[in-house]
Order: sequence, then structure tokens, then C-alpha cells
Amino acid sequence: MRLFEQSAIALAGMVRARQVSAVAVLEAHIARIEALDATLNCFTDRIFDRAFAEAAAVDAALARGEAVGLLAGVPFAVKNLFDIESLPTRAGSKIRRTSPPATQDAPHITRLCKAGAVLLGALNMDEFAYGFVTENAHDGATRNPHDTTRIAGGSSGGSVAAVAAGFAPITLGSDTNGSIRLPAGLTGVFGLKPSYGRITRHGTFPFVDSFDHLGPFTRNVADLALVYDLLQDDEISSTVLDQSAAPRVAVLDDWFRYGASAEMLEAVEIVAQAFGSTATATLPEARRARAAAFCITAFEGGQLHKPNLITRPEDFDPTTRPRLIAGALQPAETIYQAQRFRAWFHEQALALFERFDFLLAPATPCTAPLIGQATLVLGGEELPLRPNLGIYTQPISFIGLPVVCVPVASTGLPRGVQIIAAPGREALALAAAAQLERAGVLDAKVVP
Amino acid sequence: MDQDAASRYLDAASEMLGLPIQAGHRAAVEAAFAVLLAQGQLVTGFAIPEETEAAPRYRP
Repeated sequence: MRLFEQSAIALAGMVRARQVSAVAVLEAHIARIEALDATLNCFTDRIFDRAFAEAAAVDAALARGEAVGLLAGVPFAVKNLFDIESLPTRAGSKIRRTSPPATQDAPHITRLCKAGAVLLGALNMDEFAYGFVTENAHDGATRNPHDTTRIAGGSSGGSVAAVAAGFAPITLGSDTNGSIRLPAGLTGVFGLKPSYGRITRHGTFPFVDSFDHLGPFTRNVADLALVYDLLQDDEISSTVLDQSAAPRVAVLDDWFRYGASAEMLEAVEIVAQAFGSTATATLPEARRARAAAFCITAFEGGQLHKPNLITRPEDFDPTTRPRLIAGALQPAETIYQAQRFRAWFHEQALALFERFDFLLAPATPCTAPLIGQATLVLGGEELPLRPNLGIYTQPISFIGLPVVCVPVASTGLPRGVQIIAAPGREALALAAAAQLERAGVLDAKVVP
Repeated sequence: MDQDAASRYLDAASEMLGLPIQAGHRAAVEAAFAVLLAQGQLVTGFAIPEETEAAPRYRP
């Protein structure tokens, strides 16, 4: 196996055992980036000088016989809404790329670097995280490594494509309405959206305070759990991947099957069968939950960006601008009732978790669409693609539930399934993903 | 809300809230607002129990 195909844990083990230097690991990943990123367009900022200094520091510490961290010499990169010292935090925008450089790294970066990881740079995304496609008007489209005519999904498109392409075994992203789970599913990598509030949002550029989450992408569950443990503070939530009790699992029906392609429904069925489950469950009024999330998102995003929408509207991505303006002008009644509905919907979900440990749903209604594709067919109806790719993810982030998105093995394009747990139960969801991994039904490989 | 009413609402809200809509952006904003209006009606059309409070909570 080539270095850029190794897991983070394997690479760190090799570095700690001095089987390979951290600098050599870095060089292998940079060579991969330089060979493929002109096509894939993952990186918006490369900080390889810093990366070489960090890798050399790991090698020097080892040479002195000092202890190094659990991610010694492991390259990683972050969505460009995380603060990186000395870079403007562009958040996918033109507007922010002339803002003052960040004076320090986001705490997520600090924690991973303290564990020995090596930061490669920042990654492409939809402008201000408002999208599911990463076809950014300013920085171009990120292409799916499985088929470069197709989108990687968004808004964390650069982050998922970088992991799938072997640019780094770990990246970080954000998820407001599906921006971790949806692109993870379309590119065949693992993604974790923790419970709302579990991982600090400090040091990142916001989108919607009510829904913003941060989380990691990897190519296996052990790496995902390790990064999660490094980023979160609650010791009782730490992960144990070999739990043996049979989980109570149900496939979500109704809205979470509406318009899904046969291959996506098959992926969910494969996961349910691996858990030995034939149960189904209904999360009531999920369609309205999606609608409420849709309205709150546009409103809070519009309010956040209102000063620039007034003074420099031409500098916004033309696909972002009208949604933010319209969102900011919504009636107050809609937003207040959406937040009341959110509390009601949360109660319905908690009631389901009295009967089930996990709920299953597709990450997307279909596999990766083509770049530039304007519509998709849902339930026999042709609808705009951009707002409808996230119909199965939006109701879940709306109430902040933790989700591990797993890549179900496929002979075609990747397809992701959401393992949805009760609030605070990330550890159980990760253990369930590990169970699926051991059962051989998942596949996250480096391509091409 | 019909299209004319939505258009008048946008004009009034834009003026009252101090968020101008450039002429070249008007059609896209109206289209986005129509989508939001339809989604919003799904929310306001649901009978939420009276005792249900809004999700955001103030913690002193």
C-alpha cells in the first residue's frame, strides 16, 4: 500500500516506529496533490512551507527520543472557513479574501497539530457554506475523484475530495444542513457530524448559528473516532469501537424514502441487514422540518451577511446572493414558528430513540450529479438540484442529532448512509459504523 | 400569497429593513423568495401545540 493510501493511525504508527520519516510522508502526499489537484481543485490555500517545518519538527523530536502524539506526521487539511494563522479566512467568498489574516489557528487545528499532525492548507467550499455542490463562482468547482465530470457535493466539497483522492487521510469540514454528510456520501468517505454544540465553533467563520456543526472526514472508522476524541472535551463520550451489544436499528420511512433512487434504497437495506434489522420507523413531519430548516437558514444567513448585501452585493456568488437577500426579508412569523416547530420535532425524535438506538437514512436521494446539472427527478417530479440534494440531511441537523455517514460498498458511484443517533451518542454511532466496517459492507478507497 | 402580493411585500420589506434589491438581481430574489414562501407555508400551516416554546432558550 502506498503512503497516501494509508490510514492516519497507520501513518502515525510508522512515523513513531521510525519506519518512515514525517517528511517522507508529507512529500508523498504533496506529490499526490501536485499530480491531481489541478483537475480536482480541492485546495484554495497551500501552506507547504509550514507543513515541512511541522513534519521536520516531528522527526527531530523522535530523533531526540521525545514522545510524539497520536497523529505524528499525519497530513491534514481544513475547509477554508477554519482560521489558519496568517491567512484570511475566506469561507468560500470573494468578500473575505481581503480581510485581515487570522492571528491564530482555530482550536481544532491547534489540537491536531499538538497531536503531531501536519497542516497542508485550506480547502474549497460553497460560498459561505450555503450550498450542496461546491461549484464556487470565485474558486471553481471541486470535482469528484470517482468521476471528474461529477460534483463532490458540498459545502465541504474540497474536504471530502481531498480524502477520497489521497491528498490527506484527515480533513475537517462543517455541516449546517448536510455539508458533512452529503459530500461524504457522494465521494465515498466517512464523515461525522457530532451533536450540536459538541465541538467548539470558535475560530471558524459561521453560517447559521442555530445549526452549525464541525466535524472530520476520514477513510476508516478508527481514524474518525480518534479525530473526534481529539476535538471534543467530554470524556464520557470517548469512543469504544468494539461494543458487542446488538443495537436496535430502524430504517426511516416516509420522507426519507421519498424520491430516493433504487441504488440508494439498496444501500440503506444493506446496512439494515448487516445489523439484522427489518424494522422501520417514521419521524413525523420531516418534510416540514426540512422546510423550517430551509427558512431559518436563509434568515440567519441573510442577517449575518446583510451589511455586505447592502454595500457590495455584486461581490457575492450569484447563486448565493438571491437566497441571502430573500432570506433576510422573510416575515418574522415564519422564523418564530420554525423555531417552535423545531422544539416539537425534537420531541418526536427523542420519542423514537426510546425504541431504537439508531435510525438509518440515505445521505442523498441519488449518487453524484454532473457538474452544472440544474435539476434532479424526485418522486417523478423534475426539481432544482441545488436546494433538493439535502432533503434527507436537513431534518436531522435541524435538531442537532449526531450522525456518522458511512460509504456503502458499490460497483458504481459512491453512496452514503446516515447512522443517526440520539443527542450525545456519537460513541455508539461510531461503534455501529465500526461494526459495519468489520462486516465488510463499507468501502472508502483512494481514487483514482 | 399571489405573485403581485409577494412582489409588493418584497418592495416594502426591502425599504423598511434597509436592504435594497438591485434591478439586475430582482428576478433571482423573487424566485428565491417564492421558494421560501412555499417552505414557510409548510411551517406556519402546521398546528403546533400551544405549550410548545421556541427552541432557542435564554440562559441567565
